[in-house]
Amino acid sequence: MNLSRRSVLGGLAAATALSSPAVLRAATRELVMVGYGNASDAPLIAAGEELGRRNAGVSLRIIGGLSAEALAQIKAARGNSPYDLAVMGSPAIVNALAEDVLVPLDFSKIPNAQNVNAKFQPYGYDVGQPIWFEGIGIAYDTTKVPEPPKTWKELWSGDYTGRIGMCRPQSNLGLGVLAATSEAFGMPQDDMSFALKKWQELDPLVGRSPPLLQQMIERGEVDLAPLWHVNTSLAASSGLPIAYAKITGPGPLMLPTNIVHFVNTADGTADLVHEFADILLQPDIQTMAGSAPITFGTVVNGIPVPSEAAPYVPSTEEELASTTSLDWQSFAPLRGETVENFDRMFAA
Amino acid sequence: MTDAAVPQQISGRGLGERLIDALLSGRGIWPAVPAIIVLMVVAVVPFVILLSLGFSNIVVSRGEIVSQTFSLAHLTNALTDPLYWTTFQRSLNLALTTTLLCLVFGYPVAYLFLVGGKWTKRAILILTIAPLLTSGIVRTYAWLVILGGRGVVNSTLMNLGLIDQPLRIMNTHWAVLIGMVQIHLPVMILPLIAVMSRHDSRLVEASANLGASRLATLRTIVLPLSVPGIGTGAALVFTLSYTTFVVPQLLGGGNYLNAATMIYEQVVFSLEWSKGSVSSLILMVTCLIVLVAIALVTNHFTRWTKGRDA
Repeated sequence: MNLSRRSVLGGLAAATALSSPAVLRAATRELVMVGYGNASDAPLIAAGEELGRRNAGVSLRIIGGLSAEALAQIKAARGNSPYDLAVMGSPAIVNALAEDVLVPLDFSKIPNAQNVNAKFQPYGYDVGQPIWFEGIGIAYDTTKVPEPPKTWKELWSGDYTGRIGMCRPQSNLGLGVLAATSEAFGMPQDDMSFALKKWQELDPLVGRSPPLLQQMIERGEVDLAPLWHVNTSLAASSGLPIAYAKITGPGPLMLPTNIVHFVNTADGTADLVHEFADILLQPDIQTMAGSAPITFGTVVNGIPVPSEAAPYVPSTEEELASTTSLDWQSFAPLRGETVENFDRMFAA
Repeated sequence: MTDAAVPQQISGRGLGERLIDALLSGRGIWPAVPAIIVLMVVAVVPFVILLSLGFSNIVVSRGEIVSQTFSLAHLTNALTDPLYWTTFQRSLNLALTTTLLCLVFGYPVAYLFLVGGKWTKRAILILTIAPLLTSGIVRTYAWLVILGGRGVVNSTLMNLGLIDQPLRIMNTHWAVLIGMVQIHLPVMILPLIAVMSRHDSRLVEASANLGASRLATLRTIVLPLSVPGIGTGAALVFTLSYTTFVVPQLLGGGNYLNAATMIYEQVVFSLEWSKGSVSSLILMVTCLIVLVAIALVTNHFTRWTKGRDA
């Protein structure tokens, strides 16, 4: 057999072409995470790019959606999670733990976790890493509510009956507001029956989700409603006369968002998930998350609050010191039962 | 070629050729086999698995079901719970009302298609099919703009001085009904047009020649002949309305619950799949009962028409 230079080069080219997919597969790795599906994904995308720069061939794919939907999908897949990681609020972590679909993070592999304000770390419930937080306050139409309520109890002053909106308790917002209501009247946070009766007194218009509740305020269907500060900030940024009150008693209230790692994902993802969480806690990513238009509350010490975010998140030492959360572990497991009771009282 | 040679020739064919022959012959169930396989894999098997959850207590570990024991508790709890009765009754009322209104609004359009000229027919077809080219979510969101507090309806009424405060239309049963009728109307009109277009126009002419008024012709000729279209349209609209999720989700507000939204919440938010499974079973069974009733009524009137024609 005669071997010419042309046949050798041709053979090499063919071998390279045939083997390249396998080589590429071995060299590339994609992390799939549940994100927000909107502009709030920006810091996640930036952290994913940094992860890719540090680890050749690694990329991050963010799929927008609710963490609750992700849990349902994992349950449907009998634990074979289609996602490696997610951003998840504390109450959803409680529900995910009940379904046993989370792998606890090893916090020693997240060096930047040491810089996280101590008041946020417990809300990862030893499995998730808090990365930022959202506040629960009152969004109101400034043309109709010149002086917003300052405490939860003030909502029952009689001024807001029939004008107020609320979110269904299937959402973390709706559930948290009910717990805050019980707390405001000196009842245990998990006394959902008491809170539902109190809200029935207000004859509220009900939003199915926080974004839909936000739209109800925008369309002028309600004058005010308890809402995430992020939704309020988004509504206000569109030029509508909507403002936010950091309501107290209890409060100002916040709900940390965490990075969590799902079970049964591919081998070797754990290290990348930890590194990704660590990058998210870097000052540059935290500053990006805390700036407009996202305005997440940052959890790392020493990150200044920009002026445009000050109306929505604690901006002074005093405010930050008084910022608190709820005992989500006590009432998050009651979500299903609370939704049913809500429907018996409000939808029946 | 002798007759005896034919079987020899057939037996000489390969399996693939014989299978293709069987598929193309149109005999038996062979032509439907690919569809049956796909339906079994992607619809029937998952549905049976889902239904099995409604009759069992399950224990989960690391996302996998590690224990599953038979139980009728979920079904009996649902059947004795007033919330389920109220929710399914509301869904049924909504679907039946939507079906009736779609028929009332859709039939005149189909009749106009039957008697109208070329351009009328084209306009009706375009207006009927065009909404189907857009997503149901987009069409539902359009109603948010129209019916909202600052929407077209309220703004017009206020500008005309008819009302001082915006009417509360959104987040009510009426908003859901309006949205459902608009979104499902094409599904009623299209089967009606398909059936009525097949009519022998000489029947209408004969009726007129025999001195019948247009109303009498409509009542005695056109309407009875369009019964299969009414039945098909009603079955489609009812099924879609009874199981609809998007319209109540967006237009009904958070305190409007129908069967589909209840199942969604049980499965996704409460993660109570046994309850979701039982609710799905009730939804399917009640839907089938109504569909059988529609089929029986349609068959009854179709037989009556055929008998009279004979």
